[in-house]
Amino acid sequence: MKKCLLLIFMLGFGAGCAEGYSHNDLRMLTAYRAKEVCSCLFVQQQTEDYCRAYTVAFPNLATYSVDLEEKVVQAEALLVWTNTARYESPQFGCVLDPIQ
Amino acid sequence: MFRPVHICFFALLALGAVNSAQASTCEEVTRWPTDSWEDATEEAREKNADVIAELEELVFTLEGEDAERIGTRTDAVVIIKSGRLIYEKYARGWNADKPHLTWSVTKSITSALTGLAVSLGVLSLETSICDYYADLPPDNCAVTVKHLLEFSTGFDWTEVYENEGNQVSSVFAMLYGEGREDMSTFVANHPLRDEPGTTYQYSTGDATLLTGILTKSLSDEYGDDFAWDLLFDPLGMTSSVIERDRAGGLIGGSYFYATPRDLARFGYLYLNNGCWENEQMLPEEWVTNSTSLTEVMSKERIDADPDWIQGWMWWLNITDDDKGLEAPWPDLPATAFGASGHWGQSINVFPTLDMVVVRTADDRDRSFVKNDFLKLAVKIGEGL
Repeated sequence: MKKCLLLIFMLGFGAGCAEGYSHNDLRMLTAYRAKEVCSCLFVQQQTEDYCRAYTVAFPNLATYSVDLEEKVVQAEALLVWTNTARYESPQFGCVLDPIQ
Repeated sequence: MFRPVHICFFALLALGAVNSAQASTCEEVTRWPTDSWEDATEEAREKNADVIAELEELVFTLEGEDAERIGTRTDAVVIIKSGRLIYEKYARGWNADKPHLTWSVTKSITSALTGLAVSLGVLSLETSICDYYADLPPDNCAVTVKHLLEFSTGFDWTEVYENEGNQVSSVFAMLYGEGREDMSTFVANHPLRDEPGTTYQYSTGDATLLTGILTKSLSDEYGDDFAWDLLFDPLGMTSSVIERDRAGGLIGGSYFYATPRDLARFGYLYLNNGCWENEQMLPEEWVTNSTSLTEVMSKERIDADPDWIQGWMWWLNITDDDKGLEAPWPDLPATAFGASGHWGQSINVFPTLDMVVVRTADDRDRSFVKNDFLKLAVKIGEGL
């Protein structure tokens, strides 16, 4: 039953429930979180606690990890959807990696 | 017979005439923040302590837990009067050295860069997007730089944000979804919903397409750093960051960062009609046009959201009953104008008061009343 509910949940948010663009909510959420955490940390020079709170979005399913040395942020949702943002330069800040 | 050297001589004479004509339009201003803003905060605190206390209670008093994201969440306020810094305060982990995301304030930066490109002769208001983007739907070639500036492109674009419909949000699709690798091309390929120049639709896509065009038109001569060469460096905005997509296009609708003091420099350029260090850096006519009601909004009754009365990517404080326009900051002069961004960012310019007011924030619940804040902010300048 729990697996069924999870599947329904993932299909709902993952594949998109309505007509629109060809993205899905969870992939987009990971892109949002990766990009905005990266910019928050490396452009705005804020603390990790601040950036974590600043980038919470609904549904709060996108977790992330930070490589402080390489200035790379990878976000993930439900082990399926991932996105990575990396700090490019002091002038141009952060950019998302290509769509996979 | 004229030799080339004579032509050069007359060309230089003509250039000199143009330059002196431009310089003559600048009123002599004695205070410029060449190295930094002259500090008059102590003087202001002595004269207007009560007003400052009232302002701080209004905008720096936090409600609830941080995670609740309720109430007014000010990160910084910087106020400039007659070229002097008269008030400055930071909160919530911010300080004078940290660049703050400005969201749609970026659009006003894009407007200024466009003005510089036009003044250099690189672009004109009539330039078609098809001059820079191949294989677009043929009808889209009617979209010009001017339509982008006044948000009248007519693109079938849905400007909604978080919790308002992720699947239909053109903004999310551009920034984080299918359009994110080459945002301006993504925008330019949208079908038209209306004939260009006939309707108003505020659009982060239009501003991003405009910086795509700026990138393509200016990079050859000025390199990737064109925004610094033309705008940020002359103004001394050393904290400036503007992010770009994977195709190299600046994301001119959303992703400009700077410290509040540097944002005040940008406001000060417009306060002084495009003059900087008493030289005409941005044409005065461009500033005037940018801060006047756009042609598309002048045509008919818009019934726009009061916060969205537009010049060329600047927000205005106009009341016009015939057009259904009501000033968004009724307690401030009608000549006031501003750059405005998501979650409370703003640069506010008051030509009749010789003031610039900058606020950065993280307001999430829309309870902040900008009019009340600005009313107190300008009172801090009284007697200075």
